Amino acid sequence: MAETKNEIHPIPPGWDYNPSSWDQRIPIVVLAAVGMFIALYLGIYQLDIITTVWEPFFGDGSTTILNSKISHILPIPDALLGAFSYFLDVAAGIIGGTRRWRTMPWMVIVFGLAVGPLGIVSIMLVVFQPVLFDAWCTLCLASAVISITMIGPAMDEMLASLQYMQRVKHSGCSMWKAFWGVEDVVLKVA
Amino acid sequence: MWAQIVNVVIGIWIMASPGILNYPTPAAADNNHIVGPLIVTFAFTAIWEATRTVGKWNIPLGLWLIIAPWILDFEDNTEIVGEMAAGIVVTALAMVKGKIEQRFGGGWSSLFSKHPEHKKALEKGK
Repeated sequence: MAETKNEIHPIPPGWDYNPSSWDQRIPIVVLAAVGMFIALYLGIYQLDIITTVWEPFFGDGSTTILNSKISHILPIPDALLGAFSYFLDVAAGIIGGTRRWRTMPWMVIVFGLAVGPLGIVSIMLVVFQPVLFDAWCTLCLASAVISITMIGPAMDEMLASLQYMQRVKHSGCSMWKAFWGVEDVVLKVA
Repeated sequence: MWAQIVNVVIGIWIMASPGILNYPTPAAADNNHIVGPLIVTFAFTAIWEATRTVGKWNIPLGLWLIIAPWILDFEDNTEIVGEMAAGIVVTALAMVKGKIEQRFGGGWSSLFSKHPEHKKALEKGK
């Protein structure tokens, strides 16, 4: 049994690598940061702070999409919501050490949920574009590609945390405490 | 992995083809604009070994492309043949599992197992 959190073996049992290591997480964080800047740019346009938006391929496609009814269905423009989601991805990707699949399952699961559903919303927006408005938007597509790219790499870490939660359940210890990373449970259940 | 990459390319083609080929049937264009991005998403996510299993979600989508021209009444023969051919290839490639070189404690299915692989690995001390 590990005496302190730092003695925990970083590679989950039955795995070949540690999904919480920095070289696994940094690329996702960088992608999310790029996505955040793209979404912020589109959001600034939707707030009319800037009056034109970069669109190299689809003519007035971006203007049609970014001014559509769906993009303003909520009180704040959808691109700003996207930027906030990306910010959540960046934060949830950075917080926690390299053993967080076991020491901080809640953060890993928040991260997984933030990346997964955000990816799904992006696809929905891509689907809405041509079907409803007969238009395409280059930067919206770029944002969708970024969201989709993050799903695969983020899910392995969530899998390691869920497997850990499963071992906690089998051990009879409190899953609630393990989820929040309470030290005595995290050290007790391997 | 190559099978998933090919499916990503086919998915992009499905998504772009109504615009490039000027599909005469609106339902065909809408159908492709919905199914294309989904195929791309599932195949792209399946490139990574830990989420390879998501590639199988393209099997029902591929099968749908084979029957869609008849249900949605596509008018143009190129449209019908193209759609069905894409459906056949997507379905076949979605079944290719490819090499899994890394271990993931038994993967996603272990979460529903009473004796999951990651627990056994722990007991063996690996």
